[in-house]
Amino acid sequence: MGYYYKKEEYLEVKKQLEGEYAVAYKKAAAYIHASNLYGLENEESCLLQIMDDFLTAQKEGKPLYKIIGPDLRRFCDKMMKAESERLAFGLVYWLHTIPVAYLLISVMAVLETFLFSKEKASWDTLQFIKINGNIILFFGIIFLFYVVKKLLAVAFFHYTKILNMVSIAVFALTMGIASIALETGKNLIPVTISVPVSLFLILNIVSIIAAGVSIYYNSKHKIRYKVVHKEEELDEIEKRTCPVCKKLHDCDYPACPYCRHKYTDEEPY
Amino acid sequence: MQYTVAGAEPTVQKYQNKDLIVTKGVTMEDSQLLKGILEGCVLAIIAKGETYGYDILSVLERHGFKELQEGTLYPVLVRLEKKKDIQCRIGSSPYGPKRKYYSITPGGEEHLKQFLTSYENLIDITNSILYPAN
Repeated sequence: MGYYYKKEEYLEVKKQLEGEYAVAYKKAAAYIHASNLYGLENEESCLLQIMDDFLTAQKEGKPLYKIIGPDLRRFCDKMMKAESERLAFGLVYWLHTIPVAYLLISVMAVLETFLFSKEKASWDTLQFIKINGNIILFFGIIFLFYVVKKLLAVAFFHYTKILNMVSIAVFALTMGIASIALETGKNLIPVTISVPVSLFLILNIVSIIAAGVSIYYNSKHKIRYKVVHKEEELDEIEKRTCPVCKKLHDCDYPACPYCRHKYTDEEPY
Repeated sequence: MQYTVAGAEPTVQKYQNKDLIVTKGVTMEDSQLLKGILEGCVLAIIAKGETYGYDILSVLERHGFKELQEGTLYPVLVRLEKKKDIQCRIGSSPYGPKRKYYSITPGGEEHLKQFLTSYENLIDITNSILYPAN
């Protein structure tokens, strides 16, 4: 699907929103982008749904509260949660994230043990893989970043520009601190976890399998989505003119998408 | 307590010597009642022909679900899709962004029939309790 925010279609369509709908969409997009923990597919799908609903309701002159209810943030939370359930991304996302994070930790631990440590180990005599405090701190900071991201999205919900600026600043700060934490020689947390080699290997195998399953599931969904999307683009669907509002639309609609005139079998194309 | 009698003007009826106000439309105080029937109602709307979320919301509103929002409807659509009662395709929208269109599956039609049977039975049983024939 691509990064939706950069698409021309998004920018063009967004210009159509006016008044309270434009303000609400801007807040919703910033909030969903800042607080989304379910992955980009979920975010883009959510925004498409919201944008379509807002545009349709705006064209009909419906007040915003009829679509979102009294609380915009709660509306966004419900949409994101529902979308993550639709894509099963809640589980798949964490099935993907946790093993991948563990694999990154194990790669860093192996590099530390065999290359960067002052006492370089060899496989012949190795009994434990050591995960030192710097690696734990690095991933702790990344995790903290996600928590802070969510809190910021909630705190600055009504201040879109500030939210965007603060999100970027926090991201830059997090990356800077995490990089410093990894630097050899600066053991900020004097903790070392020793994992027996056999357990280390088993955990790695399980993580690779879990990551592989989630990547397979993820790619299967993307292939299905791309096929559906492509079929829609390639189809040269015949058009028809609504006899009531005189607007042109695809002929396979059971009702006019503009004025909802329901077609009967007797009405010609 | 308020509940729906479709098409009726607001009236007052007696139940156990208390005034029972019967008005048109369902209020959100009856959320438990709503949860039980909303899936069936949405399925019935989709069974009439392929449609999309906003249109479903409009139909529900026309029939009396005045306080229903997209945030309540969308999880219902997701549940139905996960149960494979409905299927979704991404199509074009007249306003620009892609739109999700929903249609009923054969499994969904079966479930709708079951829902209608259960609903009719429940109405009969409830009415016989609330309005016993004297």
